[in-house]
Amino acid sequence: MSEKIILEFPFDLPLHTSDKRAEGKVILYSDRVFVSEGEVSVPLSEIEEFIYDCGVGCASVQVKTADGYTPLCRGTMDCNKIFFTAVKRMNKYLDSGYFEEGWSEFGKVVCEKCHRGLPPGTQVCPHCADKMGYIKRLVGIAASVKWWILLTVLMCLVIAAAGLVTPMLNRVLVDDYIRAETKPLFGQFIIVILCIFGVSVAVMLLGILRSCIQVITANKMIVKLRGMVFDKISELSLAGVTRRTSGELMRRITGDTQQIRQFITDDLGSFLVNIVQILAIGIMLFVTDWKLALLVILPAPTVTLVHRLMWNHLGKRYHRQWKMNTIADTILHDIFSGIRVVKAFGMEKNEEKRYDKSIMDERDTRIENETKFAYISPITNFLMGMGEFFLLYYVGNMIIGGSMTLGQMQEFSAYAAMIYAPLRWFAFLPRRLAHTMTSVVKVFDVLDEEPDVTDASEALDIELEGNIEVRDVSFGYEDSRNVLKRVNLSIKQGEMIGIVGRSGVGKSTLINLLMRLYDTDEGDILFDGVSIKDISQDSLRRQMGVVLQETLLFTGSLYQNIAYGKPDATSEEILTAAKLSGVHQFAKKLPDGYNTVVGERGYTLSGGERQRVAIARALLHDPRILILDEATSSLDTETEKSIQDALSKLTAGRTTIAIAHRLSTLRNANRLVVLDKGTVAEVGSHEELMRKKGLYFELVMAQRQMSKMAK
Amino acid sequence: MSDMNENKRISLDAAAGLSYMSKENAHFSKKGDFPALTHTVHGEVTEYDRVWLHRVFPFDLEEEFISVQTKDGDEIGIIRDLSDFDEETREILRGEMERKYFVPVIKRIITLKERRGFSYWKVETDIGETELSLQDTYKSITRVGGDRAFVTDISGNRFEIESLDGLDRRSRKKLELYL
Repeated sequence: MSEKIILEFPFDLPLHTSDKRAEGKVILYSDRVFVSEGEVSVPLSEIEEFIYDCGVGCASVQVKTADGYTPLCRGTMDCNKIFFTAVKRMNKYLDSGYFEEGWSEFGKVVCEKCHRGLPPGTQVCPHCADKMGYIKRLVGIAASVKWWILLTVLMCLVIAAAGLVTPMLNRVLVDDYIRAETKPLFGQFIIVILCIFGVSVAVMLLGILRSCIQVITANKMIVKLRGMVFDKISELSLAGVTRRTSGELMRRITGDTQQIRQFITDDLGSFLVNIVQILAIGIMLFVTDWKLALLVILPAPTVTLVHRLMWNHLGKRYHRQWKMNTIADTILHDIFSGIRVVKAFGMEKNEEKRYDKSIMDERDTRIENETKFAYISPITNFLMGMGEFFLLYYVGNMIIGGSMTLGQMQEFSAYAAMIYAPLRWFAFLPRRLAHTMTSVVKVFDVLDEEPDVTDASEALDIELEGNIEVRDVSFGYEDSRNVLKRVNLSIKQGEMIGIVGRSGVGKSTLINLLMRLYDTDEGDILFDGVSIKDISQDSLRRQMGVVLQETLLFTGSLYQNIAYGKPDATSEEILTAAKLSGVHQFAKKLPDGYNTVVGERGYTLSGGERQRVAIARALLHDPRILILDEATSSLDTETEKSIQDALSKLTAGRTTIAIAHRLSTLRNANRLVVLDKGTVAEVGSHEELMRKKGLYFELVMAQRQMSKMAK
Repeated sequence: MSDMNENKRISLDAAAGLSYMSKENAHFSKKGDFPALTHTVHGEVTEYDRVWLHRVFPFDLEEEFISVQTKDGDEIGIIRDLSDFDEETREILRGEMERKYFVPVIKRIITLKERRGFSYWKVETDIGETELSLQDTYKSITRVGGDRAFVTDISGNRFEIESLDGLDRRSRKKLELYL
């Protein structure tokens, strides 16, 4: 029995019961599928289909044979992705005898090293990520502002040095002049005072300069980081972007880069400065009196530890408070954005209660936190100051005994107080590093992601004629079954094709593939005989005009919105596109004409007006291929007709692909393609399909019924 | 006029066209390892080789309101209450639901560490010790009623905490910050 193992995957639950775990493997041989524990073995020749069956908290795999269903395995959600991908590929293997390799990557949901779950959409375990590697790369990024950072560090060092000089001058002032035994010379006294004054002024000026430089460095850095992340995100395919929520992407661009920026511009420099400070102050202390110095330094570790523990505890609590605040904000946002619903259902009182409860929860946490802080903070401060009492005692004794002067004591206590600041900084360094690492891992996760849709190494920049051929195309989004199954379609230049079918049969998906927002799983799409993967994305999209179902207006003028895809368009071009699409009809009445600000904060356009702007936007390109995805669905039939007439002039000689639920929209189409369950069910002209009395006929009849009822 | 309206008004129930299943119109049997159904509507009998069950209120009602569906998710009918059926049928349906729902119950939290925005748990459940990782701890815990909670980990595994107050003091304390 030495057959070839084609695929092998593990599972971790028993087939039927949920009261324990199990272990085993499913093995696919070239002629049968075998389960290691249950002794199930089914010949492939009997299998009609592998079935992926997703439960709640678990998933299972079954085979369908002529006799019914046979269970193969069941597993927790850790196995889910493996099951899903395995079933997809095993079915393909059943169909074609071809097995797609490299599948194990898909199943990766736990880190191989630490077996902790991987966050969705990442391949890097935040727990095991190579930290030094990341820091090296960060330093690499920081290289572009290295002179600025060096300058900041230099400033800091000078300021620190000046800070160190002041206590020394003070000592001189006290010992040699104020308490001097012989009357000092007045001129020298003035000089010392002037020195102290000069140092203070220098520190102030340098401080201002340092702040300015820091601000400049920080902003240079943040622009660079955000640019990097944003560029990468826009480069990713739609799949890469939709895998993450927009909130999460926003956080990566704004929050995480901010954190990294802070690390590079502030912490890297501070690290150097603090080390130098500790060394310098340490030396000063030990030189003055090593026993006293020990007295100062010894309690430092305990003190910093106490400090850290306190912040760890409070930090978590403050995070909770912040979370409560967010919840309250979300409720408020819900209420305001849904105010019509709230009022229509008369639920004002309930919403008030809901909001009141959330802010009261927040209040309680806040009170709890603040009281805790009020207790903890003075006590730890007092404890930290404890060392000074001992110091005072010893030093006082020494002064009384005559082995130390008052000036020396002043100098010494100034240094002793100074050393705690850098020590505290180091106590918090691990915490700050951890925070930064979280952000760094997230940001590099985006930066390192390979876009799934990439240009071929020698992508062609071609002028499209408009012939399209869809060859055996299958496609499925990440976690569902195949949306399109072996779709074949050939569109000649200048043809207008209408795509119809019920909701969810894959109409928009087909268009997404034609625009290459996603790559096909199987099969190929050819433009004038050239594979879509060999054409540069830029040239492809430049020659396509797209009007989508949802029309997004960006904040800006009407003019800018029309010119979106072609910012260098002339006013004449804009006007032509506007006239053709019917934008001109309403734009000419607006007081600010095409300069009217639209979008979120501007003038509110109606659904129909928005759609006309979208059409104008698409026409401006003078595209070879026009794609209309429910482009006129929010227009009334009359307006639609006038736009259609305009469009029909345009569609002449241009390949047009239109999706519409309202079948009358497609009456100019040369051919109609009826999709059903992901495959092409019927193709033909309106008359042909009506005669055929198939799916299209049913759709038309259903719509006629509806419009009759409307009358 | 108002009388006419009265006559025309039909109950929401009837309008919704929900079809509840009972002993009279639905007979479940076991075919292979899965439930099969013989369904009678207006005297017309339909045989289903295999049906899929789906709790409609999974957090609240485990044995009531169970949607019976085909493979493509079309609903054949709804079981209002398992107790409407005989013991044999109940066993078949319960068995299928045990297969579909895997939600271990957390008895004790051994450790709960938060690191870099993730939290890593080691817990004791009714089927043994296990580890889980949560991406956003707050969002991953769904409170049901005042005292119950469901936890969903990164991969989508579910865990139930039957009673938050019933947890031992240490577990409760670890969890407290996230509630």
